[in-house]
Amino acid sequence: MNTGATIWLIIFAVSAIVFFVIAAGVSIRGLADLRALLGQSEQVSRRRDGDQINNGE
Amino acid sequence: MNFRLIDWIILVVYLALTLSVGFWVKRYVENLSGYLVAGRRIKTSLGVATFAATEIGTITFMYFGELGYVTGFSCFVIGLLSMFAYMIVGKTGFIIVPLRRLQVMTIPEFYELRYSRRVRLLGGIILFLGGVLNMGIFLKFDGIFLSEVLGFGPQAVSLIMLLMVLIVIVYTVLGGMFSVVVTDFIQFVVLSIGMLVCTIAILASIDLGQLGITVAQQHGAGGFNPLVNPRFGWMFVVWIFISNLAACALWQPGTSKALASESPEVARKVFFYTSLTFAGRAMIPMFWGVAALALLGAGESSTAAMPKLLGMVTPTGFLGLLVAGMLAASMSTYSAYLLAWSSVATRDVIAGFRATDFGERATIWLTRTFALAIGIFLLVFGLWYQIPDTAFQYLFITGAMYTAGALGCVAAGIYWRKANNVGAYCALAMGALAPACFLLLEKWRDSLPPWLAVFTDVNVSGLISFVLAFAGMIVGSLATQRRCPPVRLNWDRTAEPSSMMAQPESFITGVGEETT
Repeated sequence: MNTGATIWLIIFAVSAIVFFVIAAGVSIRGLADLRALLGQSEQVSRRRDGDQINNGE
Repeated sequence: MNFRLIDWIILVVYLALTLSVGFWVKRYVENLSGYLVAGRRIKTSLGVATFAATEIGTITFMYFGELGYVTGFSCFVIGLLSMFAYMIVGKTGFIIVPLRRLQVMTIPEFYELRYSRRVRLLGGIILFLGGVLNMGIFLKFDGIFLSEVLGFGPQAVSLIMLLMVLIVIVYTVLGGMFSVVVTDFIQFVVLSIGMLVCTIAILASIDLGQLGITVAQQHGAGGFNPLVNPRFGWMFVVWIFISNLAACALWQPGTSKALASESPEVARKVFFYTSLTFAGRAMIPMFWGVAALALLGAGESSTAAMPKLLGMVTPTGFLGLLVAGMLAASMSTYSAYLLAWSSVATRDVIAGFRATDFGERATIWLTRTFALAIGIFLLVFGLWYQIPDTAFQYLFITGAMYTAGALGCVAAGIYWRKANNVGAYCALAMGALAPACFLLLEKWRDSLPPWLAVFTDVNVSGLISFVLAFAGMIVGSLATQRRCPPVRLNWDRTAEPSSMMAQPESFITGVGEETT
C-alpha cells in the first residue's frame, strides 16, 4: 500500500473511533438530559394549565 | 431484492415507534419558544446528539459516498476542514455565543436588532431561497439510496420520495422542535449503530491494500492529494474551510440547536463536542465510497455505487437496521430543515411585510403551512432538477448564497462597530451574486465568454461569494458612515424576540435607517 493511502487510512481510523466513542457517550448521557427536558416541560405545561383554571379560562 | 422478512419487521417497528414518539411529545409544546427552540432547555449531551443527527442525513452519506467514489482518498480532507472549522467556533464561541445571549430564534432576527427591519426582510428572503434550493435535492438522493439498498432499482425512486415526504411533513408539522429533539436523539443512537455495522461489514469484505491500488489506478496522485485533484485544488480547500466556518455559526438548522441550548456556555460546548464527530461523519461514508470503487469498479453510477455496495455486504437483519437508521437520519434532518426554513419564512419574510408581528398561534399555524408547502416543493424539484457537478458542491454553492452574506453581516455586526445598513445590504446582495450566477450560467458554460465562464467553476464562484460579501460590507459601511450611522446592539435585552419585533426601537440605542 502506498504512503498516501496509509496516512489517510490512519486518519480515517482515528476519526471513526472518535466518532463512535462520542456517539456512545452522548447516547448514555443524553438519555438523562432528555428525561430532564421532558420533566421540566411537563411542569411548565401543568403550571400553565393551573393558571388557566385559576383565571377561569 | 436485498430485504428479507426480518429486515422489514425491524424497519416497520422502528418507523412506528419513531412516529409515535414524535406525536407523544407534541403535548410538551407550550408556546412559540417551545415549538421553535424547545423552550431553550437543551443540555450538552442531548444538544450534541440532536446537532449531530441534524447534520447527518441520508443525503450526507450520499454526497460523501459519491465524493469517495469519484475522488478517492483526497476528499477526506473535507472531514478535517469541517472538524477544524466547527472546533474553532466551539472553542471561541464565535458568533453563536453572542446570538444565544441575544435570545434570537432565527438569524435574520439579528439583522433587525443590529441593522433594520428591511435588512431582516432581505436576509430572510435570501436565507429562505438558498435554504430551500439547498434542500431541494435531499429527497431525490434519499430516494436513490433507499431504492438501491432495498434492491428495488431506479423505478421505485419516485414512490419512495412521495412516502418519505408525507411521513416527514406530518411529523414536523405537528410536533415542532420537541419532536425534532426527541426523535433526533433516538435516531442518533440507531444511526450510530447502523454506521458501525456497515463499516465493519465493509472492512470484512475488502482488502485494504487493494483500496490504495485501485485509487492510484483510477485517480493517480489526485486520489490522495486534494491540491492536485482536478475537482479540488487550493481554492476549493480555502472555500470549504470558510464555508464550514460560516455554516457552522449561521446555518439555521444547526444554529437553531445552539439557540435552543440552556445557556451560551452550553451552546459553545455543544458545538465543540459535535466538532469532534465531524471528521468521522465525513470520512466514514467517504470510505464506503472508496470501497465501492474498489469492489464494484469505476463503471457504476457515482450516486448509486455506495448504496449498492451497502445492500450487497450488509448482513440480513442489519440491513433493516441500516435502512431504519438512514430513514431516521433523513427524518431528523428533514424535520430540522423544514422547521428552520418555515420559521424563517414566517418570522422573517412574511412578517417583514407587516407593521406588526403575528401572534404566537398565527406564527405556529403559518410555520406549519410553510413546512407543508416546502415539502411539496421538494417533491416536485427533486423529480425534475438535474444537479451540476457533485451533490456536495451543489449543496455548498446553494448554501453560499446565504452563508457568504450572512457571515459578512453577522460577524461584522457583532465584532465591528462601523458595520451599518448599507454595508449589510451590499454584503447580502453581493454574497448571493456569484452562487446565483453559477446556478444560472452553468447550463451554458461552453458558449460563454471567458470572463463570464469563470463563474461556472463551482470552486471559484464559492470563494468569490465570500470575498464579495466582505468587500461589500466594508466598502458599503465605510462609504456611508455619516449618512447612515451604525446601530449599536443592546446586550442587556431579556425580552423574547417576538415582542421585540413589534417595538424595535426599545432594543436599539443608536440611530438606524428605519428609525430616523
